[in-house]
Amino acid sequence: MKHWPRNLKLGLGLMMGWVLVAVFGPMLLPGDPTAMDLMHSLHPPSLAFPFGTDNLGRGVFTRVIYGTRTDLQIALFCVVPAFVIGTTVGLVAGYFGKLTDAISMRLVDIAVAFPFFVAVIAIVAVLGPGLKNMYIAVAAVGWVSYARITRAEILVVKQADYVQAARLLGFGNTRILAHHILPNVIVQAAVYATSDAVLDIFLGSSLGWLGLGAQPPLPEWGLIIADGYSFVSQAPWISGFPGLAIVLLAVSLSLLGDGLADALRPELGRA
Amino acid sequence: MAEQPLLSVIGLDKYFPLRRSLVAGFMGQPQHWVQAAQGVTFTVARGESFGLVGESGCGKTTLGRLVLGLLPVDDGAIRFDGQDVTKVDPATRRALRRQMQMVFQDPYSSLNPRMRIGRAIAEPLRLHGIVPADQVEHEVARLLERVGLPSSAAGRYPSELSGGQRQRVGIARALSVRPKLLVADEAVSGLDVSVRAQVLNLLDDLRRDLGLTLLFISHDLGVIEYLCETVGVMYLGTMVENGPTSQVFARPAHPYTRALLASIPRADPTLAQSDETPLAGEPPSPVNPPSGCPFRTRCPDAQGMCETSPPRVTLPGGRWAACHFAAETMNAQLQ
Repeated sequence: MKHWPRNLKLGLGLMMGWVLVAVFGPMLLPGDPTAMDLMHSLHPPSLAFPFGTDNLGRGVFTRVIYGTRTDLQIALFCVVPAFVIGTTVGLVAGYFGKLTDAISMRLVDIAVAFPFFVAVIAIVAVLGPGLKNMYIAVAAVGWVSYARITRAEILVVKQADYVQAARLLGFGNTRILAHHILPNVIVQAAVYATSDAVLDIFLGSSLGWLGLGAQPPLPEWGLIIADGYSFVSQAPWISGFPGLAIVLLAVSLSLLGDGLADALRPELGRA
Repeated sequence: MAEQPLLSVIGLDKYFPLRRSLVAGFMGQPQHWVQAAQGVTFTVARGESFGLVGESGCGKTTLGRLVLGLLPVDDGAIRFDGQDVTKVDPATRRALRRQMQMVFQDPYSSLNPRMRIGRAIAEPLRLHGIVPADQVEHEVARLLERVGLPSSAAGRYPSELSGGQRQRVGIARALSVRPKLLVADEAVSGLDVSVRAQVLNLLDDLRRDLGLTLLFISHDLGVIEYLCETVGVMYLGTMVENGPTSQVFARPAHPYTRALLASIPRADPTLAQSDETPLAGEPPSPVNPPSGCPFRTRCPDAQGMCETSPPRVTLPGGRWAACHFAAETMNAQLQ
C-alpha cells in the first residue's frame, strides 16, 4: 500500500493513542480510581482534578483513564467473536449454497427477528449482569450481520472469472476459499467491524447505565455517566468527560473504518 | 487411419430450469426449460483452431462451459483425448480437466485483484508440482515473456495493468498447467481494437508453437475468419453448420449462416452491399423453440417440410449443414 488514505492515518493514529492510554495511562496516574474521598466530592475541574470529582470524591480523570481499558476491552471482546463466527458462517453458506445456506440463513432470520438491544438485554438478564455475560450475548446476536455481509459478498465474488479460473486450474475448495474468495470479501466485514465496535461501546455504556453491564465500582464510561446523571445540573463534568471520551473513541473508530474501506479498495493499488 | 480428434462432443444436451413460483409448482403448472444446447455434435482435431459463432443467447458460451466442466451435462458425451469426461471417475476427470483451460472475456474479472501477477501464475505451478520448487520463479518469468510481458510484471497487481496486459496474464496463467486445449470465450471482445489484433496473434502463435488446440467462441465473424480453420455456427442451442472456415464463409450452405454473413457491416460505402435481406426480428425464445427446424420462423427459404427436423446434410469438403436444402443453398452461391 503506497499511499495511505488520510482517514486511515488519522484513525490509526487516534486508535494507537487510545491503546497507549489504556496500557500506560493507569501506570502513570498516582490515584486509585475506586478510592473515595468525601472531603473532595463534586469538585469542579482544577489542576489537582483535571476532570473534577464525582459525588464520592473520586477523580473523574483517573476513572475515565482507567475506563479506557474497560471500554476498549468491550469493543474487542464484542467484535472479535461475532466477526469470526459471522464471517465463517457467511463464507460456508455463501460458497456451498443449497442446504447449508438455507439452514444458516434461517438461523440468521431468527436472530434478526429480535431487535439487537432487546435481544442482548434479554440474554444478559437471563445469564445475569456482568461484562462476561454481555460478551456472550453480543456474540450470540451480533454474528448475524457479519454472516449476511460476507454471504452477500461471496454470492458476487464466487461468480467472478478468477474463481472459475481457479477451479479450472484444479484448486480445491479450501484453497479457493482461503486465497481467492476470503481476501476479496473480508474487507466489507472489516469495515463494518469498526462501526460495530462503536455500537458495542454504546451498548456497553447503556448496559452499564442500566446496571446490566460493567458492575460498580469498576471504572467504565457508561457507569461513570450513570453516576453523574443525578448531578448533571450541579456537576456536569462527571457525565460530560466520559461522554466526550465515548464520542472521541467512536470518531477514531469511524475514521479507521472509512480509511480501511478506502485503502482496501483494490483500484487504489494503482500507483 | 485418421488421427483421433482431441475433442469430440457428441449429442450434447443442456437444459436450464426456468424459475417458477412456489405456488405455480403446487398448482401443477409444468416446469419450463431453457434449451441451451440440443444434440450438439462436433469434433476438434489436435492443433486445430475451431471457431464457435452465433448470435448472443445461442448457447455458444454454455457450450464452452460444458466442455470445460464448469456446468454439468444433461445428456451426451464429451470425449477428450479418447476419454469421456462425463463418465470417468472424479480423479481422472480432474486430471483431464486441467488439460483444458480458459481465456475469459472480461480481463477485469479474470484476475484476483488481491493477488500479485507472479503469485497468481506460481500458484498452479506449485500446487501441481509442474516444475521443481526452486524453478517456479524462473518458470513464471518464462511464461510472462512467452505472452509478451516483461518478467517484472510478476510483482504487480492486476489493477496496475491495462486490459490487454491482463488478458496476456490470463493466458500465461492458463498455460502454466500445460493444457492441450484452450477455450477462449469472446477473449478479445472486451479489448480495444488496437490490442485485439495483438492478442489474436498471440493466441495463434501459441497454437502453432505449443501445438495447442483452440476453441474460440465469438460473435465476431471477422475474428473467426482471421483465426479459425474450422467454424461451427450455432443457432438456438443447435449447431446448424460446420466446416472449414474459408469454404463456409465463401459458400454458406445454411440460410442462417448466409444471413449472418450478410449482416457484417461493410466499412467501405463504395462496396456493393450484399443483396441478402438481413435477418428480421429476434431469435425465438429458447424456452419454446419452433418445432422442426429452429430457424424456420426467420428463414427466407422456409417451406412446409421445414416443420420436420432437418437432416444433417453432408457436403463436399468435410462440411455439413442442418438444412433440408443445404446442397441447393450452397450450389446457388456458385453463380
